[in-house]
Amino acid sequence: MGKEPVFSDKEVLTAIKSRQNMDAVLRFMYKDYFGLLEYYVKQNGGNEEDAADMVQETFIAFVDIVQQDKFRGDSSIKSFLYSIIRNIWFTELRKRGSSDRRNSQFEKQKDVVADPVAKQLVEHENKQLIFQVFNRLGIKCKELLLLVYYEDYSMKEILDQIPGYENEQVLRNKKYKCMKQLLQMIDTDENLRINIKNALQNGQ
Amino acid sequence: MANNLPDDIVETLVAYLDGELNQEALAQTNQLLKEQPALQERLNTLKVAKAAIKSAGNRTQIENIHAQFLHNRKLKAQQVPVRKMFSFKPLLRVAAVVIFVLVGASVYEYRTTSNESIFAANYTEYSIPVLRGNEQQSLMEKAFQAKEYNSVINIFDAIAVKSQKDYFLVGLALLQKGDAVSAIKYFMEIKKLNGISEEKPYDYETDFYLAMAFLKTGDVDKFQEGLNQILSNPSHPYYQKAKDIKRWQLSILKWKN
Repeated sequence: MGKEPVFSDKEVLTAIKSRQNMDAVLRFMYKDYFGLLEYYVKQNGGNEEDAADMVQETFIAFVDIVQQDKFRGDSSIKSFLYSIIRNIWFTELRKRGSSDRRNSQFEKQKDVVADPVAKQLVEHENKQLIFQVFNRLGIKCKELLLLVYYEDYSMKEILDQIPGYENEQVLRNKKYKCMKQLLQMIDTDENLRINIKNALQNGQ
Repeated sequence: MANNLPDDIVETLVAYLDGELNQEALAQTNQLLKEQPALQERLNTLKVAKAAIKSAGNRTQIENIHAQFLHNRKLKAQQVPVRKMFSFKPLLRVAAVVIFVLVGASVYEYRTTSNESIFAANYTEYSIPVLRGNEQQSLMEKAFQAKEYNSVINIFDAIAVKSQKDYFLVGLALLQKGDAVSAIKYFMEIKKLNGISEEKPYDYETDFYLAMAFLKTGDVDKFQEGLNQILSNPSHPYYQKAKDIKRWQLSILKWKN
Protein backbone atom coordinates (compact mmCIF):
# COMPACT_ATOMS: atom_id res chain seq x y z
CA MET A 1 0.00 0.00 0.00
CA GLY A 2 1.18 3.49 -0.79
CA LYS A 3 1.58 6.20 1.79
CA GLU A 4 -1.59 8.23 2.47
CA PRO A 5 -1.31 11.75 1.04
CA VAL A 6 -1.09 14.68 3.42
CA PHE A 7 -2.85 17.98 2.72
CA SER A 8 -2.35 21.47 4.10
CA ASP A 9 -5.40 23.46 5.25
CA LYS A 10 -5.27 25.46 2.05
CA GLU A 11 -5.18 22.33 -0.09
CA VAL A 12 -8.10 20.86 1.83
CA LEU A 13 -10.22 23.97 1.26
CA THR A 14 -9.32 24.17 -2.42
CA ALA A 15 -10.19 20.51 -2.96
CA ILE A 16 -13.53 20.82 -1.19
CA LYS A 17 -14.53 24.00 -3.00
CA SER A 18 -13.58 22.62 -6.40
CA ARG A 19 -14.80 19.13 -5.45
CA GLN A 20 -11.64 17.74 -6.96
CA ASN A 21 -9.83 14.93 -5.16
CA MET A 22 -12.53 14.98 -2.47
CA ASP A 23 -12.18 11.31 -1.52
CA ALA A 24 -8.47 11.63 -0.77
CA VAL A 25 -9.03 14.84 1.19
CA LEU A 26 -11.88 13.36 3.23
CA ARG A 27 -9.86 10.26 4.02
CA PHE A 28 -7.01 12.48 5.16
CA MET A 29 -9.40 14.46 7.38
CA TYR A 30 -10.82 11.29 8.90
CA LYS A 31 -7.33 10.04 9.62
CA ASP A 32 -6.15 13.30 11.13
CA TYR A 33 -9.21 14.59 12.98
CA PHE A 34 -11.50 11.67 13.77
CA GLY A 35 -9.70 10.80 17.00
CA LEU A 36 -9.76 14.35 18.30
CA LEU A 37 -13.44 14.89 17.51
CA GLU A 38 -14.44 11.49 18.83
CA TYR A 39 -12.61 12.19 22.07
CA TYR A 40 -14.54 15.43 22.53
CA VAL A 41 -17.94 13.71 22.32
CA LYS A 42 -16.86 10.87 24.57
CA GLN A 43 -15.52 13.34 27.12
CA ASN A 44 -18.88 15.07 27.15
CA GLY A 45 -21.23 12.21 27.84
CA GLY A 46 -21.38 10.54 24.44
CA ASN A 47 -20.71 6.91 23.71
CA GLU A 48 -18.72 5.53 20.81
CA GLU A 49 -21.72 5.42 18.49
CA ASP A 50 -22.69 8.99 19.35
CA ALA A 51 -19.14 10.08 18.69
CA ALA A 52 -19.01 8.40 15.27
CA ASP A 53 -22.36 9.94 14.26
CA MET A 54 -21.33 13.38 15.46
CA VAL A 55 -18.02 13.24 13.64
CA GLN A 56 -19.77 12.30 10.41
CA GLU A 57 -22.21 15.21 10.78
CA THR A 58 -19.29 17.50 11.56
CA PHE A 59 -17.53 16.62 8.34
CA ILE A 60 -20.73 16.97 6.31
CA ALA A 61 -21.40 20.38 7.86
CA PHE A 62 -17.81 21.45 7.29
CA VAL A 63 -17.90 20.52 3.61
CA ASP A 64 -21.23 22.35 3.18
CA ILE A 65 -19.94 25.46 4.87
CA VAL A 66 -16.75 25.49 2.83
CA GLN A 67 -18.60 24.90 -0.45
CA GLN A 68 -20.92 27.81 0.35
CA ASP A 69 -17.81 29.89 0.93
CA LYS A 70 -18.86 30.60 4.51
CA PHE A 71 -15.63 29.51 6.11
CA ARG A 72 -13.61 32.69 6.43
CA GLY A 73 -10.40 30.91 7.29
CA ASP A 74 -9.88 32.90 10.51
CA SER A 75 -9.01 29.72 12.33
CA SER A 76 -7.41 26.45 11.40
CA ILE A 77 -9.57 23.66 10.01
CA LYS A 78 -8.91 21.76 13.22
CA SER A 79 -10.31 24.57 15.38
CA PHE A 80 -13.25 25.03 13.07
CA LEU A 81 -14.11 21.34 13.16
CA TYR A 82 -13.87 21.50 16.92
CA SER A 83 -16.37 24.38 16.99
CA ILE A 84 -18.72 22.47 14.72
CA ILE A 85 -18.73 19.33 16.80
CA ARG A 86 -19.27 21.31 20.00
CA ASN A 87 -22.38 22.88 18.47
CA ILE A 88 -23.66 19.70 16.90
CA TRP A 89 -23.22 17.72 20.09
CA PHE A 90 -24.83 20.46 22.14
CA THR A 91 -27.84 20.47 19.81
CA GLU A 92 -28.05 16.71 20.03
CA LEU A 93 -27.99 16.78 23.82
CA ARG A 94 -30.65 19.45 23.85
CA LYS A 95 -32.83 17.31 21.59
CA ARG A 96 -32.41 14.38 23.89
CA GLY A 97 -33.51 16.57 26.78
CA SER A 98 -30.57 15.42 28.75
CA SER A 99 -30.57 17.00 32.15
CA ASP A 100 -27.82 15.30 33.99
CA ARG A 101 -25.36 17.49 35.77
CA ARG A 102 -22.52 16.88 33.41
CA ASN A 103 -24.51 17.92 30.39
CA SER A 104 -25.90 20.95 32.20
CA GLN A 105 -22.36 22.03 32.88
CA PHE A 106 -21.54 21.43 29.24
CA GLU A 107 -24.51 23.54 28.13
CA LYS A 108 -23.37 26.40 30.35
CA GLN A 109 -19.96 26.26 28.79
CA LYS A 110 -21.54 26.09 25.37
CA ASP A 111 -23.55 29.27 26.05
CA VAL A 112 -20.37 31.07 26.95
CA VAL A 113 -18.59 30.00 23.81
CA ALA A 114 -21.58 30.43 21.49
CA ASP A 115 -20.13 31.36 18.13
CA PRO A 116 -21.13 32.16 14.57
CA VAL A 117 -20.78 28.51 13.68
CA ALA A 118 -24.08 27.91 15.48
CA LYS A 119 -25.99 29.95 12.90
CA GLN A 120 -24.43 28.10 10.01
CA LEU A 121 -25.35 24.85 11.62
CA VAL A 122 -29.06 25.68 11.78
CA GLU A 123 -29.09 25.56 8.01
CA HIS A 124 -27.12 22.35 8.11
CA GLU A 125 -29.68 20.88 10.47
CA ASN A 126 -32.50 21.77 8.10
CA LYS A 127 -30.60 20.22 5.23
CA GLN A 128 -30.22 17.12 7.32
CA LEU A 129 -33.99 16.98 7.82
CA ILE A 130 -34.66 17.61 4.13
CA PHE A 131 -32.19 14.87 3.30
CA GLN A 132 -34.34 12.44 5.29
CA VAL A 133 -37.33 13.53 3.23
CA PHE A 134 -35.30 13.40 0.03
CA ASN A 135 -34.37 9.82 0.82
CA ARG A 136 -38.05 8.89 0.67
CA LEU A 137 -38.26 9.92 -2.99
CA GLY A 138 -38.18 7.25 -5.68
CA ILE A 139 -34.84 6.09 -7.01
CA LYS A 140 -35.26 7.81 -10.40
CA CYS A 141 -36.08 11.16 -8.79
CA LYS A 142 -33.14 10.93 -6.39
CA GLU A 143 -30.80 9.99 -9.19
CA LEU A 144 -31.97 12.80 -11.43
CA LEU A 145 -31.94 15.50 -8.72
CA LEU A 146 -28.45 14.50 -7.59
CA LEU A 147 -27.16 14.68 -11.15
CA VAL A 148 -28.74 18.11 -11.61
CA TYR A 149 -27.98 19.78 -8.28
CA TYR A 150 -24.98 17.88 -6.90
CA GLU A 151 -23.09 16.88 -10.02
CA ASP A 152 -24.14 20.02 -11.90
CA TYR A 153 -24.64 18.03 -15.07
CA SER A 154 -26.39 19.67 -17.99
CA MET A 155 -29.62 18.12 -19.30
CA LYS A 156 -27.69 16.89 -22.31
CA GLU A 157 -25.12 15.13 -20.13
CA ILE A 158 -27.88 13.56 -18.07
CA LEU A 159 -29.60 12.29 -21.22
CA ASP A 160 -26.38 10.43 -21.99
CA GLN A 161 -26.21 9.06 -18.45
CA ILE A 162 -29.81 7.95 -17.96
CA PRO A 163 -31.52 6.10 -20.76
CA GLY A 164 -35.29 6.28 -21.30
CA TYR A 165 -35.84 10.01 -21.71
CA GLU A 166 -36.74 11.20 -25.20
CA ASN A 167 -35.24 14.65 -24.99
CA GLU A 168 -34.06 17.38 -22.65
CA GLN A 169 -37.54 18.81 -22.18
CA VAL A 170 -38.90 15.46 -21.01
CA LEU A 171 -36.03 15.30 -18.60
CA ARG A 172 -36.65 18.86 -17.43
CA ASN A 173 -40.33 18.04 -16.83
CA LYS A 174 -39.26 15.05 -14.77
CA LYS A 175 -37.05 17.32 -12.70
CA TYR A 176 -39.97 19.71 -12.03
CA LYS A 177 -42.13 16.78 -11.05
CA CYS A 178 -39.52 15.47 -8.63
CA MET A 179 -39.03 18.89 -7.04
CA LYS A 180 -42.76 19.31 -6.61
CA GLN A 181 -42.91 15.93 -4.94
CA LEU A 182 -40.10 16.90 -2.59
CA LEU A 183 -41.79 20.17 -1.75
CA GLN A 184 -45.04 18.40 -0.98
CA MET A 185 -43.22 16.00 1.33
CA ILE A 186 -41.57 18.92 3.14
CA ASP A 187 -44.97 20.59 3.46
CA THR A 188 -46.46 17.54 5.09
CA ASP A 189 -43.68 17.55 7.72
CA GLU A 190 -44.95 20.26 10.06
CA ASN A 191 -41.76 20.50 12.15
CA LEU A 192 -39.55 20.68 9.13
CA ARG A 193 -41.66 23.34 7.49
CA ILE A 194 -41.60 25.48 10.65
CA ASN A 195 -37.87 24.96 11.08
CA ILE A 196 -37.17 26.09 7.56
CA LYS A 197 -39.48 29.07 7.96
CA ASN A 198 -37.82 30.12 11.21
CA ALA A 199 -34.38 29.68 9.77
CA LEU A 200 -35.28 31.79 6.75
CA GLN A 201 -36.79 34.49 8.96
CA ASN A 202 -33.58 34.52 11.02
CA GLY A 203 -31.64 35.44 7.96
CA GLN A 204 -30.56 32.08 6.60
CA MET B 1 -51.05 29.20 2.06
CA ALA B 2 -48.23 27.94 -0.08
CA ASN B 3 -50.09 24.70 -0.61
CA ASN B 4 -52.84 26.54 -2.40
CA LEU B 5 -50.51 27.65 -5.16
CA PRO B 6 -51.07 25.93 -8.48
CA ASP B 7 -48.64 23.14 -9.43
CA ASP B 8 -47.40 24.98 -12.50
CA ILE B 9 -46.16 27.85 -10.32
CA VAL B 10 -43.83 25.40 -8.54
CA GLU B 11 -42.51 24.40 -11.93
CA THR B 12 -41.98 28.06 -12.70
CA LEU B 13 -40.16 28.60 -9.41
CA VAL B 14 -37.86 25.61 -10.07
CA ALA B 15 -37.15 26.93 -13.55
CA TYR B 16 -36.60 30.37 -12.01
CA LEU B 17 -34.04 28.96 -9.55
CA ASP B 18 -32.32 26.93 -12.24
CA GLY B 19 -32.11 29.87 -14.68
CA GLU B 20 -34.31 28.21 -17.23
CA LEU B 21 -36.86 31.06 -17.73
CA ASN B 22 -36.76 33.36 -20.70
CA GLN B 23 -36.61 37.09 -20.17
CA GLU B 24 -40.37 37.57 -20.27
CA ALA B 25 -41.16 34.73 -17.86
CA LEU B 26 -38.38 35.89 -15.57
CA ALA B 27 -39.81 39.41 -15.35
CA GLN B 28 -43.31 38.08 -14.67
CA THR B 29 -42.04 35.78 -11.91
CA ASN B 30 -40.05 38.56 -10.26
CA GLN B 31 -43.22 40.63 -10.22
CA LEU B 32 -45.25 37.80 -8.71
CA LEU B 33 -42.61 37.22 -6.01
CA LYS B 34 -42.83 40.86 -4.99
CA GLU B 35 -46.60 40.74 -4.79
CA GLN B 36 -47.06 37.36 -3.14
CA PRO B 37 -45.11 36.64 0.06
CA ALA B 38 -46.39 33.04 0.00
CA LEU B 39 -44.72 32.59 -3.33
CA GLN B 40 -41.48 33.98 -1.96
CA GLU B 41 -41.78 31.52 0.92
CA ARG B 42 -42.15 28.69 -1.60
CA LEU B 43 -39.13 29.88 -3.45
CA ASN B 44 -37.10 30.01 -0.24
CA THR B 45 -38.10 26.48 0.67
CA LEU B 46 -37.11 25.32 -2.80
CA LYS B 47 -33.76 27.05 -2.36
CA VAL B 48 -33.20 25.20 0.90
CA ALA B 49 -34.32 21.96 -0.76
CA LYS B 50 -31.93 22.52 -3.64
CA ALA B 51 -29.09 23.22 -1.22
CA ALA B 52 -30.07 20.11 0.71
CA ILE B 53 -29.83 17.99 -2.44
CA LYS B 54 -26.42 19.47 -3.11
CA SER B 55 -25.48 18.57 0.43
CA ALA B 56 -26.99 15.09 -0.04
CA GLY B 57 -24.31 14.34 -2.57
CA ASN B 58 -21.62 15.34 -0.09
CA ARG B 59 -23.40 13.35 2.60
CA THR B 60 -23.41 10.19 0.49
CA GLN B 61 -19.74 10.60 -0.31
CA ILE B 62 -18.83 11.27 3.32
CA GLU B 63 -21.02 8.41 4.57
CA ASN B 64 -19.11 6.02 2.32
CA ILE B 65 -15.75 7.22 3.58
CA HIS B 66 -17.05 7.21 7.15
CA ALA B 67 -18.17 3.59 6.78
CA GLN B 68 -14.83 2.59 5.27
CA PHE B 69 -12.93 4.36 8.03
CA LEU B 70 -14.93 2.69 10.81
CA HIS B 71 -14.66 -0.68 9.09
CA ASN B 72 -10.89 -0.41 8.79
CA ARG B 73 -10.62 0.76 12.36
CA LYS B 74 -12.69 -2.17 13.55
CA LEU B 75 -10.53 -4.58 11.60
CA LYS B 76 -7.41 -3.09 13.15
CA ALA B 77 -8.91 -3.34 16.62
CA GLN B 78 -9.89 -6.96 16.02
CA GLN B 79 -6.44 -7.91 14.94
CA VAL B 80 -4.84 -9.69 17.83
CA PRO B 81 -1.70 -7.78 18.53
CA VAL B 82 1.07 -9.98 17.38
CA ARG B 83 3.32 -10.25 20.37
CA LYS B 84 6.87 -10.80 19.51
CA MET B 85 7.17 -14.41 20.34
CA PHE B 86 10.29 -15.81 21.85
CA SER B 87 12.27 -16.75 18.82
CA PHE B 88 13.94 -20.09 18.68
CA LYS B 89 15.76 -19.08 15.53
CA PRO B 90 18.99 -17.95 17.19
CA LEU B 91 18.99 -21.06 19.38
CA LEU B 92 18.30 -23.21 16.38
CA ARG B 93 21.20 -21.59 14.58
CA VAL B 94 23.51 -22.26 17.52
CA ALA B 95 22.14 -25.80 17.77
CA ALA B 96 22.71 -26.28 14.06
CA VAL B 97 26.29 -25.11 14.39
CA VAL B 98 26.85 -27.33 17.42
CA ILE B 99 25.29 -30.26 15.64
CA PHE B 100 27.36 -29.54 12.59
CA VAL B 101 30.53 -29.43 14.66
CA LEU B 102 29.55 -32.55 16.58
CA VAL B 103 28.61 -34.40 13.45
CA GLY B 104 31.80 -33.24 11.79
CA ALA B 105 33.86 -34.32 14.77
CA SER B 106 31.98 -37.59 14.98
CA VAL B 107 32.50 -38.28 11.30
CA TYR B 108 36.17 -37.46 11.74
CA GLU B 109 36.45 -39.67 14.79
CA TYR B 110 34.53 -42.42 13.07
CA ARG B 111 36.80 -42.31 10.08
CA THR B 112 40.02 -42.08 12.07
CA THR B 113 39.19 -44.45 14.92
CA SER B 114 40.50 -47.96 14.42
CA ASN B 115 42.03 -50.79 16.40
CA GLU B 116 45.42 -49.51 15.40
CA SER B 117 44.73 -45.90 16.37
CA ILE B 118 43.49 -46.86 19.82
CA PHE B 119 46.34 -49.29 20.24
CA ALA B 120 48.90 -46.69 19.24
CA ALA B 121 47.39 -44.11 21.53
CA ASN B 122 47.27 -46.34 24.58
CA TYR B 123 50.01 -48.88 24.25
CA THR B 124 52.99 -48.36 26.49
CA GLU B 125 56.10 -50.37 25.98
CA TYR B 126 56.78 -52.46 29.00
CA SER B 127 59.90 -51.58 30.96
CA ILE B 128 61.37 -54.26 33.15
CA PRO B 129 61.62 -52.86 36.66
CA VAL B 130 65.10 -52.90 38.17
CA LEU B 131 64.91 -53.94 41.80
CA ARG B 132 67.56 -52.91 44.27
CA GLY B 133 69.79 -55.89 45.10
CA ASN B 134 68.53 -57.74 42.11
CA GLU B 135 70.40 -55.94 39.34
CA GLN B 136 71.44 -59.15 37.56
CA GLN B 137 69.17 -59.71 34.59
CA SER B 138 68.58 -62.87 32.63
CA LEU B 139 69.55 -63.13 28.98
CA MET B 140 65.94 -62.86 28.02
CA GLU B 141 65.46 -59.73 30.04
CA LYS B 142 68.59 -58.25 28.57
CA ALA B 143 67.39 -59.03 25.06
CA PHE B 144 63.98 -57.51 25.85
CA GLN B 145 65.55 -54.39 27.28
CA ALA B 146 67.63 -54.17 24.15
CA LYS B 147 64.41 -54.59 22.13
CA GLU B 148 65.86 -57.62 20.48
CA TYR B 149 62.51 -59.28 20.22
CA ASN B 150 63.62 -62.12 17.95
CA SER B 151 66.29 -63.00 20.50
CA VAL B 152 63.64 -62.92 23.20
CA ILE B 153 61.57 -65.40 21.21
CA ASN B 154 64.58 -67.64 20.55
CA ILE B 155 65.66 -67.60 24.15
CA PHE B 156 62.07 -68.37 25.21
CA ASP B 157 62.00 -71.37 22.92
CA ALA B 158 65.17 -72.66 24.48
CA ILE B 159 63.89 -72.52 28.04
CA ALA B 160 62.71 -75.88 29.23
CA VAL B 161 60.63 -74.82 32.22
CA LYS B 162 58.95 -71.53 31.49
CA SER B 163 57.83 -69.12 34.18
CA GLN B 164 55.09 -66.48 34.05
CA LYS B 165 57.85 -63.97 33.46
CA ASP B 166 59.10 -65.88 30.39
CA TYR B 167 55.61 -66.09 28.94
CA PHE B 168 55.06 -62.44 29.64
CA LEU B 169 58.24 -61.25 27.96
CA VAL B 170 57.80 -63.42 24.94
CA GLY B 171 54.20 -62.27 24.69
CA LEU B 172 55.35 -58.67 24.78
CA ALA B 173 58.08 -59.42 22.22
CA LEU B 174 55.51 -60.97 19.90
CA LEU B 175 53.18 -58.07 20.44
CA GLN B 176 55.97 -55.66 19.63
CA LYS B 177 56.59 -57.61 16.46
CA GLY B 178 52.91 -57.37 15.58
CA ASP B 179 52.00 -60.97 16.24
CA ALA B 180 49.13 -60.31 18.58
CA VAL B 181 47.52 -63.73 18.09
CA SER B 182 50.64 -65.54 19.36
CA ALA B 183 51.05 -63.00 22.09
CA ILE B 184 47.53 -63.74 23.28
CA LYS B 185 48.37 -67.45 23.42
CA TYR B 186 51.29 -66.80 25.75
CA PHE B 187 49.47 -64.23 27.89
CA MET B 188 46.70 -66.81 28.34
CA GLU B 189 49.30 -69.28 29.58
CA ILE B 190 50.19 -66.83 32.36
CA LYS B 191 46.54 -66.66 33.34
CA LYS B 192 46.37 -70.44 33.44
CA LEU B 193 49.46 -70.69 35.60
CA ASN B 194 48.29 -67.95 37.92
CA GLY B 195 44.99 -69.71 38.19
CA ILE B 196 46.60 -72.63 39.85
CA SER B 197 49.32 -70.94 41.90
CA GLU B 198 49.22 -68.93 45.04
CA GLU B 199 51.54 -66.34 43.74
CA LYS B 200 50.33 -64.58 40.64
CA PRO B 201 53.32 -62.87 39.12
CA TYR B 202 52.75 -60.58 36.14
CA ASP B 203 49.02 -60.99 36.57
CA TYR B 204 48.19 -57.28 36.54
CA GLU B 205 50.57 -56.61 33.69
CA THR B 206 49.09 -59.46 31.71
CA ASP B 207 45.58 -58.07 32.23
CA PHE B 208 46.54 -54.92 30.41
CA TYR B 209 48.74 -56.35 27.66
CA LEU B 210 46.37 -59.20 26.96
CA ALA B 211 43.58 -56.69 26.49
CA MET B 212 45.83 -54.68 24.19
CA ALA B 213 46.66 -57.82 22.23
CA PHE B 214 42.96 -58.51 21.74
CA LEU B 215 42.57 -54.93 20.54
CA LYS B 216 45.36 -55.49 18.08
CA THR B 217 43.58 -58.51 16.65
CA GLY B 218 40.30 -56.59 16.39
CA ASP B 219 38.49 -58.55 19.05
CA VAL B 220 36.83 -55.53 20.60
CA ASP B 221 34.58 -57.56 22.90
CA LYS B 222 37.56 -59.32 24.47
CA PHE B 223 39.40 -56.03 24.66
CA GLN B 224 36.46 -54.41 26.47
CA GLU B 225 36.13 -57.43 28.72
CA GLY B 226 39.78 -57.04 29.72
CA LEU B 227 39.36 -53.33 30.35
CA ASN B 228 36.29 -53.95 32.48
CA GLN B 229 38.18 -56.43 34.56
CA ILE B 230 40.91 -53.84 35.22
CA LEU B 231 38.36 -51.12 35.91
CA SER B 232 36.56 -53.34 38.42
CA ASN B 233 39.57 -52.94 40.68
CA PRO B 234 40.51 -49.34 41.38
CA SER B 235 43.78 -50.45 42.98
CA HIS B 236 44.79 -52.23 39.78
CA PRO B 237 48.12 -50.74 38.61
CA TYR B 238 46.70 -50.32 35.13
CA TYR B 239 43.39 -48.85 36.33
CA GLN B 240 44.18 -45.29 35.16
CA LYS B 241 45.44 -46.49 31.82
CA ALA B 242 42.25 -48.48 31.28
CA LYS B 243 40.21 -45.49 32.32
CA ASP B 244 41.98 -43.26 29.81
CA ILE B 245 40.70 -45.36 26.95
CA LYS B 246 37.54 -43.62 25.73
CA ARG B 247 34.37 -45.68 25.81
CA TRP B 248 32.89 -44.00 22.77
CA GLN B 249 35.91 -45.05 20.79
CA LEU B 250 35.07 -48.62 21.69
CA SER B 251 31.53 -47.99 20.49
CA ILE B 252 32.89 -46.74 17.17
CA LEU B 253 35.02 -49.81 16.90
CA LYS B 254 31.99 -52.02 17.50
CA TRP B 255 29.96 -50.17 14.84
CA LYS B 256 32.79 -50.51 12.40
CA ASN B 257 33.30 -54.15 13.12
